[in-house]
Amino acid sequence: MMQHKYQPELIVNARDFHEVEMLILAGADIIEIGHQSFGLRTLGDINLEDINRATSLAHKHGKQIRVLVNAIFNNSRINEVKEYLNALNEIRVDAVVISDPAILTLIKEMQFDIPLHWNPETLGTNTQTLKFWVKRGIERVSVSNELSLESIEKINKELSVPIDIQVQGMTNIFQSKRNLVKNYYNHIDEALKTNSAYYIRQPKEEPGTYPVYEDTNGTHIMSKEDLCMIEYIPAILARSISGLKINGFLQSKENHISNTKIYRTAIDQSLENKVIDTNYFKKLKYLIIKSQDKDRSLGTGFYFKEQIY
Amino acid sequence: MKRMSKPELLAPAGNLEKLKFAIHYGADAVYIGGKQFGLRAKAGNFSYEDMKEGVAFANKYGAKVYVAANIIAHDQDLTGAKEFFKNLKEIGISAVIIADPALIDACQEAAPTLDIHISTQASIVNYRTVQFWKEEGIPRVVLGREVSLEEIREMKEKVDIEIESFIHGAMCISYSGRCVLSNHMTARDANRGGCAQSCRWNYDLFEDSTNENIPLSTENFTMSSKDLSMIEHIPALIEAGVDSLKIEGRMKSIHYVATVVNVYRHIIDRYFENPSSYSLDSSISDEILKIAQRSLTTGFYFNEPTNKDQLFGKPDRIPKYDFAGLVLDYNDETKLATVQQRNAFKIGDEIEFFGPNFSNFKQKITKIFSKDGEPLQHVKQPMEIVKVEVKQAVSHLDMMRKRVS
Repeated sequence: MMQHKYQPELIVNARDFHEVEMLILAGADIIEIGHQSFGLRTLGDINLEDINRATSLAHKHGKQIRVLVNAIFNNSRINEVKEYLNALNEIRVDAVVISDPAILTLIKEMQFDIPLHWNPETLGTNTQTLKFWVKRGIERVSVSNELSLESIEKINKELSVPIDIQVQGMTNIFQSKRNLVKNYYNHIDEALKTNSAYYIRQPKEEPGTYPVYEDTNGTHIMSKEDLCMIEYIPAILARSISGLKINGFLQSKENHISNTKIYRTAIDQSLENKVIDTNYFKKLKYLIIKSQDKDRSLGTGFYFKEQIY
Repeated sequence: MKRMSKPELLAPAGNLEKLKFAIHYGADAVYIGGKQFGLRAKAGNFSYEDMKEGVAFANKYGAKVYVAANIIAHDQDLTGAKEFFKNLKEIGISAVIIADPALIDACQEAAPTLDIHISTQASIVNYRTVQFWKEEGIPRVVLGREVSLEEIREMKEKVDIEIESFIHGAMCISYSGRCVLSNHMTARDANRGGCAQSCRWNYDLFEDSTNENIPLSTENFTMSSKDLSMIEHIPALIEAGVDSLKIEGRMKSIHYVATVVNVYRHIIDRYFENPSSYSLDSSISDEILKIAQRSLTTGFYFNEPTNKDQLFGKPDRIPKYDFAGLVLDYNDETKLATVQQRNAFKIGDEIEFFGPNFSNFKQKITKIFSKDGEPLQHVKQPMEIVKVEVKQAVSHLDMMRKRVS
């Protein structure tokens, strides 16, 4: 049964200190930041100094900073991770997001009291699994994107900690440790373009592409559609889901900040008004569509979709 | 030199027949799937009755049977999990391979004495994670593919736990479990046994997202890995302390399973006879090529894979051998083998017989007789039982293969 008091929170990622500032003003409650050396698919690489500045700023505004430490670490990285956690503990960030029980044991060993949030990406798909991690010290969890809203509602009812779901932006659908793009360029003997996303699609497939990019964690493939759940915000809040995440990956700062404002409005409207004006949310969706990249469609992911197996 | 005991040779068994061949050809243990909770929805999989027969067969050889219950479950998939594990324990299954902690909880509650091995789907790639599972009461972890031999050595030094690592077969190009391409492209849930292998498809790559742009190259963007083969490095794996050497492929044929098991059994046994003078015989590497479906690689064991470890363009030409027949019996007086047809063969075909312990020999097919003793030119009917003249003694469950391309 739910023990926490329900308070929806808008969780938004940021690429640099300036964006943290702007997102706080735009109405984000929790800003998710990090560095690719320790976090998966961080929006930018923010160093410890800026994490410190961001944390001070957020706290001044009554907002929270959580840092991604959810990379998949091999042996040789463990000592660096310890140092990083030590620094984050000194900064007093509000939480770290992890996906490897190794980090859980490190935090315990170092006797830090940083709240731990669990984001196992594709692996957080049922109530019992999440309870398992909660029992071992996790205070908040992200559920996988490949779940229906109905399943999420059930998980949320049975879990004693807040859960986060993604409501806007692209989702990650694949991660390899290998440099698949670099390998391909080597194979065709072309020079790799640096620092940008590439796009893939099956020959003859209908329009739309899957962004693919490489960083120190390997190769990541992102969804073809951007999630857009703006119209369903009242439905999501009616289900007492705590964290609503916006991923600004491949969005301009301007759009990302604008989308954050739109979701802030949607959440506030839903909480204030008992009667939901659906036209109002259609208007908000229109605002998102207006700034949306023309080549990327918006969708509802797996929230209302059946899967077979 | 460190104390070394023989590692376990662990083979896949998609069904009861494959289980028997894997064990007969030298596997110390096999892993199978039940009717629920497994990731190979399309493999034959085992009913409880099949499992009982499999365990009874394995017991005769002193071999073990493990059950892979490695799905990433959704709430509705967990129904019946406790009963499932309780039944496995009663049947005599030695361990279950699990990725989802929900199933760990179910198993520990319902069958506390049934060993749990953490699946490769959990992407365990550092010693702290290994330590975590040790402290959870887990006796064995199956490592992620992304681990080097040196890292395994370090894990074994730091944590007293059994380590199982893949030595042969197909590989996910992603971190196993961290891929939902199939879910997105086909609505088939990869982590619940529905994987459509979308990573093996051809793609076009664009440097710009605008759709009308032409692809960067006419050569497709592909993400397929060559298949793993550690045939040349078994001593190194043993010396690093790997406890269980695992062969991939519950979907593979009995010909494949028997051949791969035979090869690795041979290597492990020869090495332990005299570690200091062991070297790999070229006939052994040739043998593995007879069942190879893709070119081979050593994955992450020695260095980060590059484009040379991936498949691009047309597949490499690999000789293909068919499983032509299964030896059911042999008469030393008549020099006739009773053979059950598995693929067409005829008089004049160059064939090879093989069995456990590398009793391989080649010959031309000279004489075939029907059940009633009629001479035959060819055997086309599947599963037809005939007698074939052989140049050397053969045994029950030896196999006859034929090169087809």
